[in-house]
Amino acid sequence: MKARSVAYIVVALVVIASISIIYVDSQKAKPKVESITVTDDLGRKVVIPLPVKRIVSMDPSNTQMLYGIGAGNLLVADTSYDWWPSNATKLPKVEMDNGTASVEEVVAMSPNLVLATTIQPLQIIDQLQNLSIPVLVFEPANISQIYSDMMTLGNVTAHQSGALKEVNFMKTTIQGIESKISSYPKVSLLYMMWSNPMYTVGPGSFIDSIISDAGGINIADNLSSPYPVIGMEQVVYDNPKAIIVDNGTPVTNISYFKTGNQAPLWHNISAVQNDTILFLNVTESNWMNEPGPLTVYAVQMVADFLYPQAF
Amino acid sequence: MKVSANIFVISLIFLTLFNILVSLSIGPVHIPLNQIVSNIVLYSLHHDTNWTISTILFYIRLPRIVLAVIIGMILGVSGLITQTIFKNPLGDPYLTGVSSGAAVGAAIGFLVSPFLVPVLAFIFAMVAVGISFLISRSDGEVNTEMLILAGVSVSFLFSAVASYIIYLKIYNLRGVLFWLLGGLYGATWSDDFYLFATLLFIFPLIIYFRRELDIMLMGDEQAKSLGVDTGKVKTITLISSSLVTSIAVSIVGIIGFIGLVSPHIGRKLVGESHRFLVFVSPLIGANILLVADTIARSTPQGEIPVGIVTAFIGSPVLIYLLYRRRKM
Amino acid sequence: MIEIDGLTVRYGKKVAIENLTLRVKDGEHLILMGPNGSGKTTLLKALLGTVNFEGEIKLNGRETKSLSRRELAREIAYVPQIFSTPYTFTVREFVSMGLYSLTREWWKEDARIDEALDKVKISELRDKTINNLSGGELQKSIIARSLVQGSSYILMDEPTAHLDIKSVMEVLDVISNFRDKGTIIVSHDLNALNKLGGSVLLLKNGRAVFRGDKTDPLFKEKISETFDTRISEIADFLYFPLT
Repeated sequence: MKARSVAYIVVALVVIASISIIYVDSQKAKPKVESITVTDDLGRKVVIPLPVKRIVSMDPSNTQMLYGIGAGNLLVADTSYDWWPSNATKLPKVEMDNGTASVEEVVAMSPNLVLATTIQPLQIIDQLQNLSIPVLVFEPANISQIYSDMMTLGNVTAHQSGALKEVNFMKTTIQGIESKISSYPKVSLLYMMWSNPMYTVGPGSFIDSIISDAGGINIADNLSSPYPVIGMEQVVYDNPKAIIVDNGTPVTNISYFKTGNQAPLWHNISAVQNDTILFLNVTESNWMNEPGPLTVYAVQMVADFLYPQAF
Repeated sequence: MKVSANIFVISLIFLTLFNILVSLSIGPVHIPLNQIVSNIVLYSLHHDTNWTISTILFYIRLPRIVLAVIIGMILGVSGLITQTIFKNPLGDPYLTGVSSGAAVGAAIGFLVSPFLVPVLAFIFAMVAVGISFLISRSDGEVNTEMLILAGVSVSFLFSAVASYIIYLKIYNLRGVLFWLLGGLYGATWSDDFYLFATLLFIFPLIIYFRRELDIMLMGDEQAKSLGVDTGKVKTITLISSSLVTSIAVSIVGIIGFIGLVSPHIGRKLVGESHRFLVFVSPLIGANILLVADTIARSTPQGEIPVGIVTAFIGSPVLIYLLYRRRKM
Repeated sequence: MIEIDGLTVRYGKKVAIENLTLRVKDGEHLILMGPNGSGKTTLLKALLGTVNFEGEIKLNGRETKSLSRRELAREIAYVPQIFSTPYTFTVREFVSMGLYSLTREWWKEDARIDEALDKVKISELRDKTINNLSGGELQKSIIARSLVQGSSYILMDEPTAHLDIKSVMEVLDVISNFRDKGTIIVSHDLNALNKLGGSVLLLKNGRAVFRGDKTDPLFKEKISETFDTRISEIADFLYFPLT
């Protein structure tokens, strides 16, 4: 019927018109936003609308870098693994279940920026980006990268001067350490991440870079993997002068090396004979494993251990 | 046929000895052959030797090499028993639930205290096997069809439990992962002692039953009519095999493919009959595992789990054997 | 002599054989006939001791329940129906499995193996692998294996069922030449009945319907009743004349 078709056409036109008006209107309502584009450690170019007022950190090292540059007050939530500074421990926790966080918890904090590491699965990062929440992934592999990551954070949070101050402080400290130990012959070191199998740190890992900054020679440097398993025979052959045992391994005291059932193999190794074995407590282990402002303590501790005569 | 089979057995024994010597000279630390020989000579004459080299050779490499040989033999025997009793060419020693049970035990161990891993792995492996046997009992005699299904189901269940436990403390993932994929690191002479005793138990046992195993290939009904006490043979061999495999797994983790592939290669060499297969299968297992472990402990990335290497070696072999069987 | 008294076999609620009494003389060839599900195979299983049963079965005076597997295997051998096998044992190895109940040393050469191969006329197949045999050759190999057991009775389950004419005749010929061995043969094949003496047991629903000789007129009546057909029609298809 002709009347019916006409009715349909009219309705269609009205619907189209309304949608267009609403769209144009919404475009006009959007304010112009100032933003900054930075590149994170995964090479992702991220556009961050400014100013950044609410930050969620999904990893202790990011939390520490934020506080380090003086932007800690922007943090609204962190993780249950955060232990420094004490203010950070009082913040609401984004539920960290074995290294992953729930997107809902993050969104509930209404952040304008989320800081993550590669422990979080990429899907969570993608999900947040899709919800228009910018995510920066930081994973420094050595101290220089900590410096550049902190400078980036400084730019993003308008704390450039704070970042510069912290970076210079760290640089000076490290240089001081290096000059004190430079005249001594380098000490070979085994860093034990786990005893059986003997996981250690290799080239490309952050801890390995701390060791070399502290003037140590990592005996696992010939292995081409950041977290390799080193064979006992290599340890016997390389005969390290010092051993550092990370916290959380089953090896908690010197009896493992002197009287345990593996002891005959360790018997002739310098580090065991001279008792130059360092067992890290939880805090010290955190210094080694969490890149950030506290890394200077890590370098100091290792240098102190390797070259006690220098300090 | 009889003559050539004997030759195979003897050749394999020599191959194993040769393999041992070669593996002794390979490792992350390069020790020239002349040094190895002189060290061995001096050591056996009780003279002073270079401590570093002696320690590496006799306290690190040799116990590990011996362990590889023993475990390879155990898996070769277990795999053969499993394939024959279940009449399943894809049978492996873990079919009754050993591996998943052990995984639960190990996972709990890594959660609580890594020193408990071997004991817990063994206990839970036997628990899983026990449940499989209980589920599949019918009229007193072991029902092999039911037992396979029971073993698979129990494995699924225990794997799920193990995965969950591992997830609870995922920080320890590296230790657990290495164990799950199998590793002979940290092998000591006392490990060798216990496992050798285990081998001394299972090896004569399968030799004793080799006639019965041949006849049982023809099926329970025929075997019974020929006079074989099939119930007794099945129970004794399967339980022994599960027990022995559990002990092995508790010490070195889950090493795949050896138990599956060794009997097949053995059959290609000496035929179907268990008369020689009971010697050949374990010898082949020993050699494959020895080669795999030598590779596993000497990669440029450091040491990798041996289960990865056996998978790389085993799968092409398996594919090739199945392909040849198709063509027949 | 096989003496069966009051044999009853149940599979759950189903009664496969009910209160069967039977006597089989030494050297007798008994043909076991009946429709599917009448209990023929079950009777063989009861004799072999592979099912649980109520009642009494005596072999040469001894109750089978009191015998070990080995002892039973020395009295009764079994020839099942196998169409083919994937295993690569040689015929010699396969036949020598029959020696298990007599001696543990079965890999040594034994004259009994060659004798059996000869009787069944497959001596030339001695080194052939059993996965490469034809149906008839495999059947004969199994018969040879049962001969080697040296038992007084051989139970056979449809030994001629899937064989060609020539093989059927050869197998029946071999069986008819057995010395000192009785047989119980489950068979639908009236040729067997003809060639082997004519002694028959007809089962229906687990009960004996006829026991006697093929020449008994009651037999023809019972067969027609049980199978719903006339025996004279079947006679046209026999290899050996129905006498």
